[in-house]
Amino acid sequence: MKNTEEELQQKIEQGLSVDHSLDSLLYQKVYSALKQETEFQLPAHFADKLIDRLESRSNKSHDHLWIALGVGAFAIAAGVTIYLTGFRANLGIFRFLSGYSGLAVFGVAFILGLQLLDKKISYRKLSAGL
Amino acid sequence: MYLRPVSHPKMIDDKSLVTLVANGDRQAFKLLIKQHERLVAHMIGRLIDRHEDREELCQDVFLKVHEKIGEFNFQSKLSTWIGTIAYRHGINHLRKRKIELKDISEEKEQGQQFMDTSNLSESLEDEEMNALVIKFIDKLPPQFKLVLTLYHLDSMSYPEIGEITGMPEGTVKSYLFRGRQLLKNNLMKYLGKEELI
Repeated sequence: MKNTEEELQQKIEQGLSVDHSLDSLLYQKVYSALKQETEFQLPAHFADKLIDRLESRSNKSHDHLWIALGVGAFAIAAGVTIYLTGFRANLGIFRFLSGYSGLAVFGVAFILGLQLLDKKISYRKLSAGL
Repeated sequence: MYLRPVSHPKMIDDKSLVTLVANGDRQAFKLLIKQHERLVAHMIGRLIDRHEDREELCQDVFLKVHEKIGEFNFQSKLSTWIGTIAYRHGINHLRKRKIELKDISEEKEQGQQFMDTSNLSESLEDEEMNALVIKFIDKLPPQFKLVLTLYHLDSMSYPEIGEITGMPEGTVKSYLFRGRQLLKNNLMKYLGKEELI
């Protein structure tokens, strides 16, 4: 059965004459349909759209480079200024916190925890479409 | 990397095209897209059933091609390499959507129909027949659809299809034979034997 069908498929593919059996007729229909274009076609302006997307990507990475250069330049300038002025950082009015380091750590952790919780709740609400 | 607009190459071989694209020539990349968009559309169109995902996936395929073009080593045809990227993208997308890449069961291979045969049409014109077979193709497992499309629509050879899909040549041949046989059997079931004899 398989050999016969295989032979039949080969014959149709090679354009050889085949008998007028039901199998032959149906295989010819199958072969003809397989050569039909798919229903999905890309739009005519697909390549242009893609080039635009690529260029905007390229511009974005260029923007990132400028941001990095700016931050780098700022850091260098700050370093030079600190060196030249002999600036010493101090806590100023927050100096009293040095005696309450546990409280400071708790405060920071509490605020971060609140932020995290808020993000999770907001995300759930957004996902649920509320 | 900057995209420099340069000349408008009309006829260009794969090697020159790849070099130009790797050097940031956007016109060359546009030409590469034009030359291969039909292949990518066939593959993604057959693998992915959600229309809204298809164009974006095709874009992603070409963006990946652009990103990786420097790694293309001319060991295969450019179309085969692009086909491989399209295949991986398509399969990954199916996996993300948890669509199984299963083979055809024995039962189906024996000719169990996918469609309701209760309303057999009286007679089908060629166009209707084509549309019917295409519906059957859409119901096939992804690998079958893809192998049949690459072979019949994109005229790819067994080794080329094997390279794209990672299947041994024998498996490609088997998928082609079984796919066509299944389509024929389903057509037979759908139309009803008596009608055609």
